[in-house]
Amino acid sequence: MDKTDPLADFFAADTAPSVDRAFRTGVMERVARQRLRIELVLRLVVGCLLVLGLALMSPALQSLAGVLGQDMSTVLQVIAIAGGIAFLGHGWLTRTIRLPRVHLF
Amino acid sequence: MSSQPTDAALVAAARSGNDAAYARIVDRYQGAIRAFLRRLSPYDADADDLAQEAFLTGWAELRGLRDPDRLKTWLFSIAWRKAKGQARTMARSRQRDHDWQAMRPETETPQTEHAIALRQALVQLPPDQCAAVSLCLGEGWSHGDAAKVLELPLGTVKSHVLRGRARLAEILGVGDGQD
Repeated sequence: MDKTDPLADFFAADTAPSVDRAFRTGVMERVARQRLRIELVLRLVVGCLLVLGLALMSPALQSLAGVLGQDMSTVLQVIAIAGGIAFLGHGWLTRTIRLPRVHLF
Repeated sequence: MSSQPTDAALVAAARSGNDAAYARIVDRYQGAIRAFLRRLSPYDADADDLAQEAFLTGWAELRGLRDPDRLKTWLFSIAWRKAKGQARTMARSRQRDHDWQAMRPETETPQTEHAIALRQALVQLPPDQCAAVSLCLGEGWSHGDAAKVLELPLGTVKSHVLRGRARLAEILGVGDGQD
């Protein structure tokens, strides 16, 4: 705006802080919360797909377990449980938001 | 001499998940966007909340930004859409808000006499005109850039600025600088 413009003084007096750390922190907190929501939804979807896949495959898995016998069936269960734990562990280790530490003792 | 990263560089970094880059984008444009929204909203706290929402939407939609060099215009467009949405919401609940707003602290209002007078004058302009005046007279934007942000024809923006300037000058009791 032209410096000789009589309205210039009014607009010059009405400004917001150029850099406000509290404002920036507020924005980045909202960003972190949004990212967490997106991650939770994605993991929920992946988890549901895994469960659905296992449910669809269960007849084949049961027949396979019958063929392999009791010992191998136990091994398959251990592998499935380990896979589930690995999925949860991957989610925990690759999380992008800091969660409060839980002190049990 | 310290070289400031360009908007395009910050956008590229933010798109790859670099939160520090997005924080720098926020720092770079928060002053202008907050000032713009404060002129459209009766209360600074509401305007700042809206500005935070605008930056959050900007973060979420960053991949949709075609030309990173137009980041500033794009962020202002988001802010303007938010302001219009809030204006509709407030129109519906104006009576409900009235009592609450009357109880709010006066520290949320601008401090200087000039700023107070300007805000009171801007309130009397229609929202589109107020936004055009805020961008072109307050932020020094060209009519063309303001037209893109406000999604209005160029002629309409020019008309809004001309009429808004005259109206403000009349309310504030100063010449409109167009003589």
